[in-house]
Amino acid sequence: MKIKIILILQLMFCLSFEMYAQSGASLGIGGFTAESRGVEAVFWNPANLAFVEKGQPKFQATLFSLAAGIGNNSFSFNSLNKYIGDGESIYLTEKDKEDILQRISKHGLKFDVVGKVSLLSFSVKNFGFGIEAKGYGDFSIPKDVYRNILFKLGHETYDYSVKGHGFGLTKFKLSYGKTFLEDVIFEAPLLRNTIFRGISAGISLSYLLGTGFAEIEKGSAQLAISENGILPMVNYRAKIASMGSGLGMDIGFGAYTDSNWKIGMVFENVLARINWNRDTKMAKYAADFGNDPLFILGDGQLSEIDMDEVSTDTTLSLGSFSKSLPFNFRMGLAKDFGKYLVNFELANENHKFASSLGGRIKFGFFNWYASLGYLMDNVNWNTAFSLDFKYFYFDLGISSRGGLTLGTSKALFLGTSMRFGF
Amino acid sequence: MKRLIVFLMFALLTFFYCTLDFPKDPKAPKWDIEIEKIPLLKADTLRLGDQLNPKDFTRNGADSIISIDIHDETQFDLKDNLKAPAQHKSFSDQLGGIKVNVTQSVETEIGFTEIYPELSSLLGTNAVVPETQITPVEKGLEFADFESMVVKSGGVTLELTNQLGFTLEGDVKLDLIDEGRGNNLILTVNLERVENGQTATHYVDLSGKIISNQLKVILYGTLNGSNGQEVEILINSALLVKIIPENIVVNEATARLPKQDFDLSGSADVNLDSLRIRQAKIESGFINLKIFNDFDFGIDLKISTQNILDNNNNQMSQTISITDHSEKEITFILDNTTIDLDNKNLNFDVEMTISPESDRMYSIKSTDSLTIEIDVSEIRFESVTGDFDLGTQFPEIHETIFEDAPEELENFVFHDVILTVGFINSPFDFKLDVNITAMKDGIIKKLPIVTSLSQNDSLLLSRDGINNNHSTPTIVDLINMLPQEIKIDGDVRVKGENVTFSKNDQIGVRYGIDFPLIFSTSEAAFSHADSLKIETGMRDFLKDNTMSAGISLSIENGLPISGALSLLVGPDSTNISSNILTINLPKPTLINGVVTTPGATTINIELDKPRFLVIANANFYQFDVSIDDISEAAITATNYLVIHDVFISGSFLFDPAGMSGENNGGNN
Repeated sequence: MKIKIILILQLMFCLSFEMYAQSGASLGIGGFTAESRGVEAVFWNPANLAFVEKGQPKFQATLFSLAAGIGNNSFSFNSLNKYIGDGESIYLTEKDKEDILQRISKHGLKFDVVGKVSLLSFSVKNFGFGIEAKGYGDFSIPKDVYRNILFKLGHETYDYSVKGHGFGLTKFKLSYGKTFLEDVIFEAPLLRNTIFRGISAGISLSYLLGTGFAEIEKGSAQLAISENGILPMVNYRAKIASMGSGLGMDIGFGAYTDSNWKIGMVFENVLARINWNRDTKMAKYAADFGNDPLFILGDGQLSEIDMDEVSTDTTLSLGSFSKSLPFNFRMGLAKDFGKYLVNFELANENHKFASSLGGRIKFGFFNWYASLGYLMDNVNWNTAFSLDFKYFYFDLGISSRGGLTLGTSKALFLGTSMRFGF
Repeated sequence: MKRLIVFLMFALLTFFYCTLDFPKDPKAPKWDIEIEKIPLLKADTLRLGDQLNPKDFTRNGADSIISIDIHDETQFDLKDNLKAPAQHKSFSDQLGGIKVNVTQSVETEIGFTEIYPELSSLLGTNAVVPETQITPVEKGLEFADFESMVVKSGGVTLELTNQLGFTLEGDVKLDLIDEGRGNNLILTVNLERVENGQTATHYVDLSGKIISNQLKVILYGTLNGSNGQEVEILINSALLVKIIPENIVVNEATARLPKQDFDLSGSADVNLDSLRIRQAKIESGFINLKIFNDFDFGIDLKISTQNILDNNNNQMSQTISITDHSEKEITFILDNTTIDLDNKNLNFDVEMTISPESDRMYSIKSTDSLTIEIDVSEIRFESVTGDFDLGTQFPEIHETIFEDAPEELENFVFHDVILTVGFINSPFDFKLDVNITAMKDGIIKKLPIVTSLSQNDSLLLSRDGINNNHSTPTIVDLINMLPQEIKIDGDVRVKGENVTFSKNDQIGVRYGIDFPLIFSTSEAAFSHADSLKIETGMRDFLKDNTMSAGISLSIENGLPISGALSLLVGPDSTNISSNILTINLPKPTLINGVVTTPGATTINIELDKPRFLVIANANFYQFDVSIDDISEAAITATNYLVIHDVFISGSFLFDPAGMSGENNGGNN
């Protein structure tokens, strides 16, 4: 049994990750897809608006809720500092180089930044309304670049393609959740002794106001070296826009059992398309070196190439264009033991697979949250506390990618919220 | 206790969490990076035929030997030679035979009593006249038309009319004597028989004789008388003697002269040995005639230019009257006229008419002449048909051969050069007297050429001499001094008979220097040394960042030369001895200097750290190139050099801080 538990924990740990949470508590526990109630369900799972916990105010309003962070997926301050000399350059040994390369994810060195703000959100009975402003961006540099710089350049084909995108978005969201089944027993293995006290579905309809968009549609940079020569290729294309609007729809499902299991599932952005229509531009950059392999020296070869001559750098004005928001999926499973709560989240958010495993300990009005997450090839350490006075609530959470200290952290995220209810 | 432990853990966590150890002077790390067989150069075929500018080189076929060909044309004219020089000449033409105005006859009578002084009583009677021995009877005769003459032709008729009354018969003689010239007997006439009342005539040819106007006749001999018959002897019985001038033309005379014409002529020779004119169109010139009339009478002249025709193809002529003992000038303007000499002189016809006064006697001789001074200006011809043997300057030819001959060619001996000079558009034959001069940095080498060329011949200079006469030195000797310039100058004679040439006609000179790239080399080697300019940053890079490097390449040598190239470096110009690399150009197989099989090799150049240090500390470099000895090499358009599979490998220290200049003071 212990082995099974350990194996399950290991599996969960391997899959665990941190999601970009909305509040301090959700940041600390790793996600509220199953657990969220009231106004927090507007963000996490509209189906949960159908459930009312004992003692939960019928009306909740969030004064503010925000989360923000920045970081990368490979280097912490200390790992960088290890190779930064103080007054004199440090000579990297083969081991050092291996160490540096090992730190870089196979997906490359990735930088990300996120910020979320929610204001004037509230819930009444089964309804909820929220205004969420969100900004997100990431940019990645392939691992090959570092491998080549650190070790060797030889006969090989290197892909130095970069990726990145970012957007700013404000959602005016109206949510509704309703219980459609109560006290149900499913004749299914493992569930035969479980009574589902309530099973709900929810929907959120959103007016989407885009406040900025940038996406590298194509960021291709390749270098093929062979006996026949060197064949470089650079092709970059990005779209940008400053304003847009659209409609969005999220669908969620929730359930809780007689044994205090809570289950949630959200399909976010089932329909979510923004028509970007202001300051829309297409930036293109391409370097055409021809189809014939080049060489380092010689007439018309690399050493003589004037990049201004072979490259084209243009910016075209575009008409309006539509972009769907990334389809996100979240699933949460939580077991509420009263004083303790264990929560597991699984998600694919912003095209990134993520999971987390965390819990909560209640000391009266003081709640402490902690979780382990896995995101961008890194373990994330998350913790938070909240002060829950029933009608007034405040939380503050922090998340660190990679390590527990500032020196070992590759990214830091902070989240906080304050709400009241009656 | 538990809470204390939790608090301490939280405090420690917070402490480490919030502590960052920043370096005071952060430096980027550095590391070694390898490159392995990175293609350095594209496989390149250097084909001479593609490299050489077709304008500078000639190849007759793909495999033919390339030659440097310089072909051009120049020209010259004979404008300054188509002329006759100014000349001064005088001529005089004698009058020749002169007609004299001697037409009046003179007569006299010898009376009966002068023959028979003793029978004067018989006058007016009929009587028999006896035979008698005549005492010579003299009778003078004087011409009024002249004083003396040297008769060229003509004479006088002597008429004897018998009015004696009986037949003049016997041995009677009549002498005609020039009394004015010392009684010089002109003629003796035998009067054998003259009937009474009849006239006997005798023509006296005076040609070649000098006579004066004082003549006399003497009658003497034996007169038979009336032969016994009685005859009437009239009172005026006499023998009449009359002398009648007949067509006398004199060589000299003091006489009355009739108006008469003389045809005189003169000439000027405008021909030269170098230019004998048959026909010519005159561009400019004139002839001035100064005529002196030394006669005692006025003259009228009509002077015609026999060989000069005006625009209407007529002879040019002018008339002039000149009073006695005076002179006058006339001028013939020759501009735009033509002359037709047919290799003769320029002739003048002078028709002179004299008009002496009829009542005056003039002394004149046939040798008296009309004198004319001729001033012929320089005559410039528009065109000439004639015989040419003109010398003029050969148009100077300058051609740059090796403007800046590389010293690397000094040990190259070129085997052949062909220089041709020919004339085009020319009706002439030529005699060249020119020098071909090769010049290089003040050094001059000359090849004198004296040769004749017929109209369609060319001068050909090659390694076989002048027109293959195996003379030395040759043009090849000149070219092998690698001259900066070749000059051809000197003189040329143009020759031709009955050739027509105009002042605007040009004689084209077509010349060419064909320089086939066939050569031999002997101990050909050259070096080039210079200061090695490497930026300080690069020196540091070589010292600190470069660990090793290697370049590999394959060479296929289809050029007719082979050899070795070495790169040496050193700290100063007197010590450049550290060999960095040597590349051997593989030797091809040659037949008659032409590549039949290319040489091929693979070269690996390895530069290790010590060599990089030598380079980094070097201030001078030197390329030593040595060319293998070749007895004959020929460059063809298909000659080539292929370099392929050129890769660079090596190990370098990648130092971002150094690259950004943080570790040095910048570049020098």
